[in-house]
Amino acid sequence: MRLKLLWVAPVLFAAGCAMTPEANTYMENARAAYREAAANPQVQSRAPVELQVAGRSLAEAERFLQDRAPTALVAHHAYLAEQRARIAIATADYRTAEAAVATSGVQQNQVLLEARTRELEAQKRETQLAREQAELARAQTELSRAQTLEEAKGLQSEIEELQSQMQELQARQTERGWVLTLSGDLLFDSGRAVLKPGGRKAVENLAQFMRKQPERSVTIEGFTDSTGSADLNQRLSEQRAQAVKEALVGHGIDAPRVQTRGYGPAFPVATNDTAVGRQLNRRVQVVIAPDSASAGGSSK
Amino acid sequence: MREKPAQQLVVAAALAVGLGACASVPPPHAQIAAARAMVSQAGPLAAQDAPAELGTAQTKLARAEDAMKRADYANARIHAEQAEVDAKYAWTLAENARAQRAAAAVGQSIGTLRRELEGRTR
Repeated sequence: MRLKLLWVAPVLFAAGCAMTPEANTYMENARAAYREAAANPQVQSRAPVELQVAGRSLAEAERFLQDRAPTALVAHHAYLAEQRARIAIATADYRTAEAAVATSGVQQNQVLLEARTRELEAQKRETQLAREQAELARAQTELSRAQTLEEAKGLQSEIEELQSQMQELQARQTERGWVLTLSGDLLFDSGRAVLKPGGRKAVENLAQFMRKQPERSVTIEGFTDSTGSADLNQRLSEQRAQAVKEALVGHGIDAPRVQTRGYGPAFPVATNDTAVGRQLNRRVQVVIAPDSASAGGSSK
Repeated sequence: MREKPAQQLVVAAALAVGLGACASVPPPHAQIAAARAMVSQAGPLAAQDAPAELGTAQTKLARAEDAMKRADYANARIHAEQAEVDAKYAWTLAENARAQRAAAAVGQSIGTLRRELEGRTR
């Protein structure tokens, strides 16, 4: 064992100088150790200083050998050189391991960070999703509220429109609905059922109204005064109602929307004893139904 | 070219005279101090991981100190130099063992951590 030999070395010192083949053996060991260290890339990168120290030790030992120093001295320096080479190798190993620990530490943190980031992103997505759902619900509520409001507004404006139209037509509101009264003398010549030019304007207005209110139907009611035969008056009043209907149809109004009735001298609105009264009784009434359901009767 | 450090010349001279103790060889106080320091440094760490190498260093230091008492400065110096290098070697081996253990432990814990996290996200 090398160690035992070196314990002997100090004794050799005392014994004096002598160059023996053993010196070469120690040197060989030292050279081999140094070669091993120098060839190791880890040693080159992580323990360059230690490698240099080992190299200088070896060079020093070589000098002692060349200068034929006593074996013990050569052996001593060779031993130092060998140990320093081994120290360089071990130092490189330990620094490599330390670096690995540091890297691992970093890796560990990265893994933890990654995990934490993933968690946070998942949470963020959940929160985002919940928020979007709440937004959606809110938007839907607003939408339905808006639709209701729109409808309400629509109805409101419809009512106002109707009222203004009625005002234009000068219709009265009764329990049967709106009633427009047209003067018979304005519409027809005496005893005739042909619409006069004077009446056309009124019928035009009515047609316009009906176009604006496409869901409404009307009933044209003809009335006469009490002069002459009741039967003749009945037939005349029916024919006059029919004439008004035809005029409306001529303006593009659908026939089913217009009902006609003749009442003859019935239901006077004024006395038949005076000329004025009789004139008032000679009339055509247009009853505008509250909705599309019209009150019985067949159209002629 | 013959180049030798000054001290080596002195030792060589001592040898040439065939003496173990000579008035012209200075006492190797620095070498003894360095050896003591290195052996103390290595002691706690190397006791577990490099006991044989530490033992060698301690024995050589003891021999160096014995030689000092005898005023055998040449041998004292040699023993001291070897004790220092042996102690350093022991210390390095111990540091290495410790670092390898730490690296293994951390590597293992990362492996465990990864497995745990992958299990969680699945």
